[in-house]
Amino acid sequence: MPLDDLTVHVDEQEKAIRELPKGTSFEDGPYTTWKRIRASLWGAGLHISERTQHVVERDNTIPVGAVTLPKEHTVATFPEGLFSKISNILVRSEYFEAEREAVLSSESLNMFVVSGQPGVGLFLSFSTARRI
Amino acid sequence: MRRLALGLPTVYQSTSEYALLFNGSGVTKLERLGDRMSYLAVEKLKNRIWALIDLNPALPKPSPLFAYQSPFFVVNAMSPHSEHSDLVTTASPRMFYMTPWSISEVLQAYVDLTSRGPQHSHFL
Repeated sequence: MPLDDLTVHVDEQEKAIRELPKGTSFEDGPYTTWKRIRASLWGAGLHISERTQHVVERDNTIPVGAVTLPKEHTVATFPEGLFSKISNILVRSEYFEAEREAVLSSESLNMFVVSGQPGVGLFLSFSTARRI
Repeated sequence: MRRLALGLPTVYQSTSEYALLFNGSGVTKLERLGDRMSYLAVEKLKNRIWALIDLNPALPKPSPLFAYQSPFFVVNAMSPHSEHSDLVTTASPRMFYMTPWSISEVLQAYVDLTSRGPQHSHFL
């Protein structure tokens, strides 16, 4: 089941959210970065993952049963002005594998953990993807 | 980001002080992260709202609201270091390990960075 299928539950989830204690809205407050991120992305479709600049077949493969799946990554571009210093994201095929597994797990489990990739668990400024 | 692009209500936390709720109404700061009773409305949902928890040195473990038997479906991104072993043993989550960076990915990032100049100094 892809992530897209979860949109059928949005109305029910929004109704439950309205019953939560009222939090601090950012509409008129600080944290303009978060507001800008939401405004740029919310309901804008999947153009982020489709705006591919490069497709490079990876040199490693993973065996799945008797079949060997090629793994590739793409480079997607953020909407203009979303971040001041970050314009691109390297989209690994693992991201979609993790997403698929998380969607499946959400039907029966309370928690899903993604780990292993160098840089996970670090501040963004210390990420291995930063230019040094 | 894909969840926001799809218009899916999503909680995100990267610091112990608060979490952010992105939904159709905008962005809201959630502060009662130790009080589960305040979140009974979302606990009743059959299809739970996802909470994406970015564990890092400023958030070494999930807040109580996003720990064991959370009213949300919790997705933790964390390093495989031993300080997180308690989380794994108590919550028994499903684990997904990503492979290390391949040489082609490293080269891709290098090429992209060098072609964009110093004003674009980061690449996620």
